[in-house]
Amino acid sequence: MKRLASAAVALFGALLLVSLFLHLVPGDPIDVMLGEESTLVDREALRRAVGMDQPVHLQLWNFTRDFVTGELRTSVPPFQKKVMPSIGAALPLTLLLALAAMAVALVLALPLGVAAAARRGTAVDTAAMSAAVAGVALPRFWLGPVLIILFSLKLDWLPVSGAESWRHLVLPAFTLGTALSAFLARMTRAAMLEALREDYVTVARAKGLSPRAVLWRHAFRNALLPILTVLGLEFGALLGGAIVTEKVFAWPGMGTLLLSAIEKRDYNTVRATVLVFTCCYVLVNTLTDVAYALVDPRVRRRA
Amino acid sequence: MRLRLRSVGGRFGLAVAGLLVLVALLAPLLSPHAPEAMDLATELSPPRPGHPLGTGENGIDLLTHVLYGARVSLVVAAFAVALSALVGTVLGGLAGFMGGLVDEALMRLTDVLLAFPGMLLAIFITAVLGPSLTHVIFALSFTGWTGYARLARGQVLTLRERDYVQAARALGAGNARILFHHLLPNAAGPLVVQATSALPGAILAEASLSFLGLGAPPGTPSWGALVDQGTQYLLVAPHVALFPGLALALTVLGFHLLGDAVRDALDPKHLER
Amino acid sequence: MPPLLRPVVLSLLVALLPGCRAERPPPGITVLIESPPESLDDRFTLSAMGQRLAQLITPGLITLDDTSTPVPDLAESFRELSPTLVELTLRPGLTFHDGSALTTEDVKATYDSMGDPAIASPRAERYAAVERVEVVDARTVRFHLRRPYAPLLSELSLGILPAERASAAGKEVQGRAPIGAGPFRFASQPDEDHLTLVPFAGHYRGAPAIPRLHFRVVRDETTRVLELLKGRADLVLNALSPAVLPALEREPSLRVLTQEGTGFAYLGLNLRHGPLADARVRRALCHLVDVEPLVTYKFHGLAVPANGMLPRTHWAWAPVSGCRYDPKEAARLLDEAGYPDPDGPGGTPRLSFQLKTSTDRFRRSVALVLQEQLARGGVAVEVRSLEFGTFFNDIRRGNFELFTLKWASVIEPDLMRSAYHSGNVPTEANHWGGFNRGALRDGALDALLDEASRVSTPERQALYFQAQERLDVLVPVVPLWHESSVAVVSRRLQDFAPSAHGRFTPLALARMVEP
Repeated sequence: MKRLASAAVALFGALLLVSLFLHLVPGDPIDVMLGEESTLVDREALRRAVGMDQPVHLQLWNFTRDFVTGELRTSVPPFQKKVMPSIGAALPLTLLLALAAMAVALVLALPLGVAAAARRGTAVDTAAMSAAVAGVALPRFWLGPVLIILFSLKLDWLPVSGAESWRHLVLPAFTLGTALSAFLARMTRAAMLEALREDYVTVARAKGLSPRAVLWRHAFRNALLPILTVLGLEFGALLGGAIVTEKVFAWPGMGTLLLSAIEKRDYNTVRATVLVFTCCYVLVNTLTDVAYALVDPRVRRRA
Repeated sequence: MRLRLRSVGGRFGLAVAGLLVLVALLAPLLSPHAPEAMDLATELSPPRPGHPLGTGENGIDLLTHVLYGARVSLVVAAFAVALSALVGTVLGGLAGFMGGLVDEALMRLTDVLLAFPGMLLAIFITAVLGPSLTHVIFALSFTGWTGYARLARGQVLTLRERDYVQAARALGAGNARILFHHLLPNAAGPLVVQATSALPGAILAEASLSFLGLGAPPGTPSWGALVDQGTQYLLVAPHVALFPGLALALTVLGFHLLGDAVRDALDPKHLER
Repeated sequence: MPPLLRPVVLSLLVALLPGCRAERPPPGITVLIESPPESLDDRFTLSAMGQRLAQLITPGLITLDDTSTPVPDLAESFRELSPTLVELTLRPGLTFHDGSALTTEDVKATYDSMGDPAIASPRAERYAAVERVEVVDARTVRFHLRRPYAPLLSELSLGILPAERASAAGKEVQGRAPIGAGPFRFASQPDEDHLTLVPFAGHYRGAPAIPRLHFRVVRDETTRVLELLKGRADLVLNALSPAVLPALEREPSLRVLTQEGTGFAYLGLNLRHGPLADARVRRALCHLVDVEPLVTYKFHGLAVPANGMLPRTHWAWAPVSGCRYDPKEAARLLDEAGYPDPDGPGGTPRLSFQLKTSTDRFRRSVALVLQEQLARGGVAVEVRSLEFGTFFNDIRRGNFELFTLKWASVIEPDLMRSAYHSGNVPTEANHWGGFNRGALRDGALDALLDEASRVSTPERQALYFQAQERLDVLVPVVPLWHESSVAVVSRRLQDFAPSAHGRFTPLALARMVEP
């Protein structure tokens, strides 16, 4: 219950915050849409059409009501399309991208982290951790174009942009997943080291189990839970990082929707996108908290 | 507080950080050209004598801009981190110390800010205020202080029940004195760790904002802005994005390693040897 | 694989399956555009992109050629019977995409709908001068005007709809699946980013040779370039920066086609107060700006230095002298205006200004060049790049000293009245909607521009000549250049001749060949 209340507060706060900023940002959807190519048009009629002649609190109330009932329309005349279908189309793509990035991160990070922990202090450890740190250091807006040049243009293996098949997913997922995988590899190593120090590992070793079995069956299994918890916590950051990645790869997800809505001053779409972003974030965080409570180390060890 | 950076990574990080500070200080001496010098005729030419890293848009010397870029990166990141740490520590410390409504209100505020994509907020703020380095610092601090606040609050909460605090209180020390003389100095270790590990993030964030055209004002040598220029010319002049991107990656890498080393040195829980 | 990973991977694969669509679209020409059209109904298009796409589906009575002269399109001929009466005759046998005949009733219904509050067209005001549309017979139609309004001919390019689609009841379906009499017929628009058109056999010039037109929105420029290089696109029109063109030109699979354009880039000046209120200072700035190197190196020759708003190909263009790059003359003017150089070249500037620009990369780099050029003449400039909404708001409200902007397409010379007439200064009263953003106020110019909007075409030309000479003296803005129309086409697209206005209509005359 308390969790629900705090989630509601976070959502409401986000809505207020984004509305406040939208209010502060100069320029309105009509100006921006007309832009420098603008022709002589009836500006006031357009403003009335999108409800911008109303006071701010009423605009907010209308937004909340329409958002909940799914009747929300964009703030961009002349055809104020419904917002929900756009979000319905964009959200799965962003979630797909985030999940794929996570998969990439796991595939890269787990072996690296485990290898580094198993051979702690050796060259393997140093190399793996250097690779991991290097991964954190690569800016996405730089890595993305470099990957496009390399794999799309020079090698012609993968498409440049868009979201038409699984092959379109590879480069964005890799770009988005690199930083996470670097972070995760370090986490994995730390969790493995901790697990390897535990009594049951010592016992397992004493029983004469092969080092490989000890490493994977005992230590890794126990290290996995904290790793997955961290993964949940990082999901929100991944959604944020998706904004830049989607821009680079023209991936039609929430980030693209949001950036173009900001650009167009499409107030309703900006508010709705941010709310959905925040919902995802809060939801994932809550789930992670719950999961964490469930797999609390003390509970786990007794089982 | 004595730092002993024994690991290879730590030494490398320290070397990179030192080099960066040196480059930032000596940029005018090291640079072959003035940062505002232009030559349209040599726009986007590859590395050659006179322009060891080639030229960028409007024929600016890339080496000069990469060297001067160190200044922007370092100054913005350092100020953003310092401001975040200051605001976060004071607010978090207060929240932990006072408890009650203040604590609740502050924690809800951090909830809201944490539930908000930080990059988005920074984009908003810089879009409202217009591009300038001060605004970038403000935007990054606006989203960055929450981590310190939570940390400081947690630290204060655990420390305030310790004997020496209780003793100080018994001796009649005022709240402010207890908070600033006893609690915060003892909470400093984790806060310093947090600040050092936040530096590379701040460097990247400044570059990202400049990449979006919302960071450094036009003409200011900034790595993010150079990569932004470069991505447009990836096909005709890949060097424009490559070199500043490498400088950025190297710097972030260095500060990361330094941050790790500082953490290992200050936080006994992470000691592995 | 660790057991916990399996569900994650499985669910990913499942999630991906619906995303797997056919890789190859049906054969046709793929056009990459940088932004989606806000509407395909010409009455609601506001952006150039919307209008250019609507023109393919719903052409108007009149179109404008490369010199911006009105020429017949669906109309066979037109005549100005008096300053307040225009008569047009339709081509014989016109049909809409659904096979029904296009008659003057449809023309009347289309234009009448512009004044209909239920339609609420944002462009309604342009037709305010039309008192009524009279159907003389099935092929003859007359426009009766309330007052003499010469620019009307340019406005008669509005796309003609079937009468039942023009009504308020037809608005929704026309917005979703438009019908017109254009060379291409609407086929599908599965989402905002994709639009497919097919040729219309009943077009008055016959069906276009291209079997299918795919428009795809690609917002990122590098991606547009790469799609062209990979052969996944056949046409990109005016959506690439000049710097990448030399690389594309070297590519054997691509061709770069150009045509002198009608856009007008300028350095805007705020005449409201301060030094810029003095014409000598404005002229001095104009003499300090050297457009030649910008055109040569930044545009690779794909632009023409401007001496005013109209391009030299325009029917109303006057060969005024303009202000050439001349730092000596600039120094003399500044001295005379009372801004001497305090300590010789370098050092303290004569004057300082702030130059506002949007975050557009190219725009910013140009601003830096202007900054450097003006600094050499002792005029210090601070460049501020603002996010577009913020920037544009400042410009409209007069909150600037210098700014760079462009008119995307200068077709109707009456635009000079919008941009330089004292009645069009943005104010609270016109909701900051006026286009005279620098606030030029000159009675003689006002009179010339007003008169030119009332008389018939040959007289207009003489008046616009005088107006341009007056503007050449007043220097309300520093004219920069007219950017060329640039099309990058694949080998599959043949016979595409880019238009000065950057239209897609030449696609109706182009062919597709399989390499």
